This record gives sequence, C-alpha cells and structure tokens, in this order.
Amino acid sequence: MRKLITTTLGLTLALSGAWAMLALYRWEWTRALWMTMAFVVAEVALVAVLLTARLQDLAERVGRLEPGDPRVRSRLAETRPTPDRFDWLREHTTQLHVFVTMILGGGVILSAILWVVDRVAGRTMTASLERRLAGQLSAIAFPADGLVPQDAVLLAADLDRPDREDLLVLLTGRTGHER
Amino acid sequence: MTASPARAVLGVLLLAAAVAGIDLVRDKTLTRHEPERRGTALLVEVTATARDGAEEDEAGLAEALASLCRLEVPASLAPGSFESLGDHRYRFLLVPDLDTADARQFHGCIQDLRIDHFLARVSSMESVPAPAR
Repeated sequence: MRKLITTTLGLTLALSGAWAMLALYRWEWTRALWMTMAFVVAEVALVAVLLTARLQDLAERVGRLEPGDPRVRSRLAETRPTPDRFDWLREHTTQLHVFVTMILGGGVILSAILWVVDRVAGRTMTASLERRLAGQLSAIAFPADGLVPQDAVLLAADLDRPDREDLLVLLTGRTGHER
Repeated sequence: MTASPARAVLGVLLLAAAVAGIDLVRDKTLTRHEPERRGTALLVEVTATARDGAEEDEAGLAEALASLCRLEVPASLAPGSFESLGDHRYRFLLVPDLDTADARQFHGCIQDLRIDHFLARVSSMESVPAPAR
C-alpha cells in the first residue's frame, strides 16, 4: 500500500512538474499555475508519506530491540541503590561539609567585594556630595561684595531722617544722637 | 578522502552535460522578436466549446477571448473579421501579422483556461495578405 501511494505521488509529481514547464513554454499561465499547485501538493504529500514511513520503521525497530537476559535484569533491580538526596545535610566527622564551606567561602568573597565597593564609593562620593552641598548653600550665602551699600547709594540716602535711624545703625554702627 | 580519476571525469562530464542542457533549454525558450511583418495578417481559426453554466453564448465568448488575447500581442482584430463557420468553429484576422514568439503567446492565451465553462482550441494560424484599408 505504501509503495502504491509513493509511486502514485511520485508520478503525480513528475507529471505535474513536466506539465507546468510545458504550460509555461506555451504561455498558458492559468494551466501552469494549476499544475504548479498540484506539484507542490504532491511534493508535500510525498515528503509526509516518506517521513511517516521512516518514523514507523524506527518505532518498529525500537520495539524489536532485545530486552536482555531476565536474570541479569532482576539482579540489577535487586542491587539498585536507594538514592539518599539529603545526605549532604547530615553531619560527618570524617569529611568537610561542602555546604558550610561554600557558605563561608561565599561570605568571605562577598565581604571582600563589599569592602572594595565601600572604599571606592568613599573616595568618589564624598567629594561629589561636598560639591553638591556647596552648590545648595550658595543660595543663602552673603553677597560677594558684602552688605554695605555702595557710596553712591549712601550719598543718595538721607540718613539724617528720623525714620532712617535703624539703617544708620546698621550701616555706620552709631545712632543719630552720637554725631 | 580522495576521489578516483574515473569518478572525477564522470563528474566533469555530468556537469558539462548539465550546462549544455540548460543552455539548450534557454535557447529554445528564449523569446526573440522579429521585425514587423508588413503587408500580411494572421488568420486564426479556433474551435470553441461552451458548457452549461457559461455566462454568454459560445460565439460571444469566443469573440471576447480573441479580443482579450490580442491585448497581449502587438496586433488588432481586423474590424468585422470575426465570423462563425458553424460546428463550433470561428475565424478572425489579426493585423499586422505576428512573429513566431507573439504567435506562440497568442496561441497559448487562446488555449488557456481563462473563462469558466469555456474552452477554445486553435485549429490553424496562417499568414495571409493584409486586407486593403
């Protein structure tokens, strides 16, 4: 049956391919399109049949594999070790505990890394933070030329007026009565 | 892994045969146009069959197909040249005459499956003197 299907598909493939080429040569585009479609369909079907047959052969071959000597298999089953997956948690007096060793070693390595990070951050961040603080303090800093007004302002101001007593004290450090 | 001399010679021969075959196919299928044939026209006779379900009568479909296919070639249907010969046969004149490549293209267009429920076959194509204008 498989041979019949494969042969039929192979013939379909060959004929449709040849007919498509002939139709193209004759300028019969619609026929060429139909034949090309048939060619692709036959090709896909042929590949599917061949692959299915191959898989079926493999499955049968696996099914036919020798199961081995039953005495050997029973002996292997009897001596099969029971797995103890938590053996590493138990304390042993004769061997080092790998788990604890890993934790200790990891801790040392992590501490070393963190120490390096701390040193580098201390060296780089302190100066940066100081620069930033200085920038923020500049908003409340005294004017660069002090609080004393310029001479022209002082000349323009009539400090002898009674309502300028406080300004006179601030600028000259004496009251109007001390003149 | 070394190839034997006989196998190498065989490979070279096969390669040469493949190249020659491809060149032959290219030569046979290449479209080559010839100078226009003045003074002659192409008389085409077709046999047409319309099945049940066709949207037009057989003669109308045949004339429509001829008009459609002449758009693929540098020629026109001579006015009033389409005629029914009876027994599903029709005849028309293409002016000017077609060269070999265009005639093959027109032939393929007529015989292709272009219209549902309608099939036409080219019975003959022959060059005849062009009708006087």
